[in-house]
Amino acid sequence: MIESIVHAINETLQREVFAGVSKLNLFGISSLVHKKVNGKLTTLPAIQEGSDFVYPSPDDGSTLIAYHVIGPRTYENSPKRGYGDQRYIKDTAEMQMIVYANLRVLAKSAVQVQELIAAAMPQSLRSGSGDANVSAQVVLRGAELDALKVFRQQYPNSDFFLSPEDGFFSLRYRITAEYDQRCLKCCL
Amino acid sequence: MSYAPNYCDNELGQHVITPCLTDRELGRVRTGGFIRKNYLETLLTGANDPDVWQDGIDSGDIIVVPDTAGTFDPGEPAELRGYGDRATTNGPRTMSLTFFDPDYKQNYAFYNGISKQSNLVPFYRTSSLVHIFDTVASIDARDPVEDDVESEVVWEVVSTVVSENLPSKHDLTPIASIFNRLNF
Repeated sequence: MIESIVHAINETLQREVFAGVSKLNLFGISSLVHKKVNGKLTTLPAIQEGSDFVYPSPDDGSTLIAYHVIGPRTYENSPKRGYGDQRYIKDTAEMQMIVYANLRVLAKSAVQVQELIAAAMPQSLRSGSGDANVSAQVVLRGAELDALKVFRQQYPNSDFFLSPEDGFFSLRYRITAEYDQRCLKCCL
Repeated sequence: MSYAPNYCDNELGQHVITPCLTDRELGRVRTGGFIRKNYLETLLTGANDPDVWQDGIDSGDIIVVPDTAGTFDPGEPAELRGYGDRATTNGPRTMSLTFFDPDYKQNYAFYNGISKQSNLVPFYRTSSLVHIFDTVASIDARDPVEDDVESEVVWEVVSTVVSENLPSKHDLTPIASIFNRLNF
């Protein structure tokens, strides 16, 4: 469910903010992994795409890269009405969107790119289809515009190599969905 | 016709005590539905028989709304004149069954037409019992919309039954599969 919501967010941003931007890479959910890069064991984000893994990096020539990180996820009984024998579940996931932007190509500052993304973030989405079609709310929580902080979080044992035209920031947001568990159990 | 008050003790069923009070019934109208009046007697005769239920569903004589939320208000008995030493006597009750059906989008035709029906007997389910009324209901279905983007729009169905009898109770266990949404 979270993956399809993240996918829907990416589609919205591609359509409303980055239409016409070349070398745009919007990825799904990442996790930090250890990988040998140039003989050195490095910690870096990895995104699974099918059976392969992609390792986005600010130095791969992209104009803009964005991927998402799942933070704590909580489940609780929803005060909302359930039906039949079930109560609704309230599913809350704290998320981050990590964004790299080539500011020279985009001709914008990091703050401007961050604000454009924040303005275009959808507030409510539907994930999945059929009975797994769950309504979710997306709420912005904050942003970290200190490139060094964000870089150290994503590449903890790499030397900082970004230059002034490399914008690197994160946007925190929360996904909340309330649904009948059976919607996911039977229909995914 | 004069009214004869009922003083017959032999019509009173036995009060049953369960030793450990562990078998409790829990609330919410979890399933709602309707039985066509001409099938009611058949169903009440075989209320624990899943085949009787399934035959009724297949023939359209039973309509099941498998997952609902709602309430049942047994109301108060009508107060009739008392005789002899009795100040009043109890008449029929006006009972109200309300359930909410989240299957909203595709049921306009059904619920728009149900208010015009005069031959439907409601039933409902709680945690382990199915409750069946003994006479037809006056039914109203409505779909209010709240000014809240996070609210749901659902069908609210109110059935009003006037009867001297509360709904009869039937064990859910042998017929539980009948009310599984996935079987429809």
